[in-house]
Amino acid sequence: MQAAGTDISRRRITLILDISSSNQLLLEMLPSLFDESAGIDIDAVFVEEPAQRRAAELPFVREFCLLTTVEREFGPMDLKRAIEVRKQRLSKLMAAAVGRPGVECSIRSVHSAANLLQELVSVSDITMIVPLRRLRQQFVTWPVTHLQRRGRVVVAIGEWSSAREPLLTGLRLAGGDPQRIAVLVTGEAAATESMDCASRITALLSAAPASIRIVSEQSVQALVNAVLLERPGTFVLGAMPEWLDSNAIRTLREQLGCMICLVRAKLEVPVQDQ
Amino acid sequence: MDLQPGRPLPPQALYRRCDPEHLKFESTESFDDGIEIPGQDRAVEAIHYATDMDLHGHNVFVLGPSGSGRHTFVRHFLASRASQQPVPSDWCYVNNFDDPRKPTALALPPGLGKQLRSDVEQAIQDAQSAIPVAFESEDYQTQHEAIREEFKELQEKAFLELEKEARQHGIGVIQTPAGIAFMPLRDGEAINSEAFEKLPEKEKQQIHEYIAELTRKLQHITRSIPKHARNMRQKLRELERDVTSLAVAGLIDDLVEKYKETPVVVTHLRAIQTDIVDNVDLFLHQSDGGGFMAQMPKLTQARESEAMRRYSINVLVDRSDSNGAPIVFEGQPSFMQLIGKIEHEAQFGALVTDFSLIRAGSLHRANGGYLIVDAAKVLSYPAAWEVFKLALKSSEIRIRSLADDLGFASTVSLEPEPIPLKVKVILIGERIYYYLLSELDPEFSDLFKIAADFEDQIKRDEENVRRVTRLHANLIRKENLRHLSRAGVARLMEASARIAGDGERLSADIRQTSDLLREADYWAMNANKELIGAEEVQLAIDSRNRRSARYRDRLLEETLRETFVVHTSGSRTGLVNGLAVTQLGDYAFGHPQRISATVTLGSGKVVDIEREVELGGPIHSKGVLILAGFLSSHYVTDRPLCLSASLVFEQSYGGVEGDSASAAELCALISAVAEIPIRQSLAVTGSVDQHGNVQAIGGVNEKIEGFFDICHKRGLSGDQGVLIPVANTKHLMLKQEVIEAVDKGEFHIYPVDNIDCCLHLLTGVPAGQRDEQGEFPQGSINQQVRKRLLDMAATYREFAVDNEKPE
Repeated sequence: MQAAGTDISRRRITLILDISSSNQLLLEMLPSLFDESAGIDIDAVFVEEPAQRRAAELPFVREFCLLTTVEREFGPMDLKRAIEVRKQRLSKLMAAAVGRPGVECSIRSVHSAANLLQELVSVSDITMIVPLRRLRQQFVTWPVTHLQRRGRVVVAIGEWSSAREPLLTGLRLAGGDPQRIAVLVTGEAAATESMDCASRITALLSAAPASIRIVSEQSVQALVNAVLLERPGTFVLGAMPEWLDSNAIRTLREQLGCMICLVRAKLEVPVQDQ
Repeated sequence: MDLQPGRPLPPQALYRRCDPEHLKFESTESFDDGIEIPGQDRAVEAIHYATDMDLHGHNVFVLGPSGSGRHTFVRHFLASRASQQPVPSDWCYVNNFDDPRKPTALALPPGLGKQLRSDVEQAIQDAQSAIPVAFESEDYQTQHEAIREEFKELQEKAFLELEKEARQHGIGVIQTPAGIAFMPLRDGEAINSEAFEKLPEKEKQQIHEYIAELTRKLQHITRSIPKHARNMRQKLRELERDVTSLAVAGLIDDLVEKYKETPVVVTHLRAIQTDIVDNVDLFLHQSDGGGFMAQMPKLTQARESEAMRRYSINVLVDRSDSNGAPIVFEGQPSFMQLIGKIEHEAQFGALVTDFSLIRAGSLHRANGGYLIVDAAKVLSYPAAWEVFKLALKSSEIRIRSLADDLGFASTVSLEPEPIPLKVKVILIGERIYYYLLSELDPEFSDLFKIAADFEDQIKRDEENVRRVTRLHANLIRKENLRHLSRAGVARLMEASARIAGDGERLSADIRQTSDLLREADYWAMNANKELIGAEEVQLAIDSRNRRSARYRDRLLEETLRETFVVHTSGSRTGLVNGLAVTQLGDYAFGHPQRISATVTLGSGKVVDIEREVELGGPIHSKGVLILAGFLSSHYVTDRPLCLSASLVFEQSYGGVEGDSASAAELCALISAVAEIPIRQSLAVTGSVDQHGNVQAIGGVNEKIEGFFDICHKRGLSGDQGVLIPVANTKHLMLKQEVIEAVDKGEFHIYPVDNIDCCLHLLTGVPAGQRDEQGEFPQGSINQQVRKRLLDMAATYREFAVDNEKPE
């Protein structure tokens, strides 16, 4: 799969960010996604949800700050200003995090639309999605030390032909430690013998992962459930068409509560006969 | 020996030989290695006493001339004493985990410091492996996760209930940039402002009330969360502590068992154990996948090394190879060399330090033993004397920074725990330092209660000759020189007596004779001799003199060329050959100095021209003033002294000090008064008192040889010679040439005991003694002096106007 009209010598990474979530961890992970590509385009997108706009337009709605437990004004201008501040801050952090030549960064904010996520994912080699914050997960009041931060990297593969890219991306995100990787085999690949699965994955990773699980049921929810069982820090998914509709992405984003990395397989350029 | 004043001395009186036949050994080979300091019984007794006294302040100041064997003796003596004393403690500094700015000092049994350091290093290395393994274990991860889950569930439950309640009232919860907001829903979707405006007022009011109630509950939940979080953190910490404790307990317990006989070590090991539990992060590898720590492997190494350093043992003083109490000679007793120092390391542009950078000073190394320090050096280093005294006074070593003390630096530094000090200090220096310190430093006498005073000269007897020879035998062995034959030893002893300037004494300055010995060894080597004989010693003496004598030779040369005028024949009125000594470093030589006197009618003053032009020192001026007293008391007690005389050292362009020329000055003055010429073939040295007695002077050998050299160069006439005080005859150790000339009657040394004797020898005219009527014999010098003075008094009276009288 190759996005139409894109320069194949450049790698495109899209970061889907939430204006109400912390993006610090994503920036720390960013250098792990860089490969030997000569050029990398990073497109950072803040997605503005309709409910937020509507809330800002209602005069009596006030923002409750969870840090200070104090209420304050929340109007359209407050929302706009908050988004601008986030963009500026991200710009500075990204400049520091990238730290190599040949990387072009852009930051923008968009209103959420039905097919927005699908469109963004379809033109990217890698899409990193920050999970939506939920009320019950508001507080991470303990220090995020290395022990918590380095949770497992769960890699899901649906077909063997495109398994290499997500596995290697997962390995990079795991700091090169295969023992931090859990592999979920789903889709067509799930039909493979478990022993064969293990040998193929070990060959692709050049080492054995911490665990391999076969997910036979072909649904997004089944995949979500299987991922949650692994207590993931990051979820890496080979971007297969059936999981690239907006609803599927939204489900993953809302329910997983961890960083999501969608990896598009590199197409082998077919040799044309003269 | 017949030594009558006024009669020339026989050759045997000019030199006291050391007869090789009287020495009870063949060569220095017969001596063993022992050290006996010759003739220093007083000093030796003082050092014995000082080392026996185990009381505060009983330190020793060894005073005396350099080269007298002070260092050699002190070291030798202390070595034998220290070897019988116990080896003192090792001293270590360790981290004070409660206050790292104040490192803790540990006293350990000798040799244990290095062992402890090694054991602790090994334990920390083991902990660096064991602790991460424990934290990676399934058990730990499960328990850790369980604690987090407990908190998470608590939090989620509260928020889920709130969300549920909100939904029941048609209120939704949305995320905002800095928190959350409650807003009304319709059909599960957020309502917009137009739709809300269309709602009935009552419903709007109810929505407001619901939102207010939900906000209040949210506030309650959020405010309770930090307390739950604290509980969770506490549980996590306890879990970490339990895991860490278990991981390190075995390691530390093994060490505690090993060092159970040393309670301070056990206490420190337990402190290490507690600190590891409190700072477990130092032992955990920080390599999270995409985090920035993974990009900095050196930082991980730095943390490992930080742990190693934090728990390391800084062995300040190691006695593992010691036998007995330490003897430390501090050759560079600066502030830091004495009390130690705190080094700093540059880290990211800042200077930092800790207990591991504390370095020992000589006081630390000598603690429990002896410290030898050169007084001149310790006084010359900035602030060294003060800090040295402070350590001795307080009996503790408190390491400080000189820069901090002087206010030159304001960096945060350490205050290491002071170390108790018990040391016997032997301060070695010239006498002047001892006397000045005693007078000017009130604390000095409290700290250095014992003075060991080394003699400049020692009695020349058989025992001391043997002891000095033994010292030289030690030197010969130490420096692998040729041994001295008996004749060589005898000649060296004579040289020592000459250095002492006394035929009956030996010089305590062993350094000078040692230098002669080394040079004599060179000559013996050139002559292919197995032993150093008298001939080689003489060659060494001659060559040393020759090398040093450039200035003397130039002066002699210019005298012979009559640039400097010295008469060695004929007679002149009011002019006498005095004798002076010039000291250039270790080399001293004598040379004649013309002293002239003029007399005119005046008011009784003798003018010392040297003093008038401020070239004369106070002792010289005193000698001249004595002359006026002698003239008036000896010649004209019944008349005023009506003369004005002036005395001058001719062709003298430098300072003149000492009274050794006062006899010569008096002779010149009397010659001028009596108008009787003085023989220029003679030179005079000696001081004179108010009664005309001639007294001893210094440098008699050099003075005689100085005049002899000129006479010899010009050709000895047989009537040349030198008048010396009788008291100086025992000091004579003249060179062979002089003795030979005297033996042949070509040169003469006359001992004189009073000025009359001098005058008789110098003028050939008897001085004359007063008869019963108090008159001097007719024609005698004294009669002529008195007559001239009476004439001058009469003449002065004739010139006197009205009541003016001579003063």
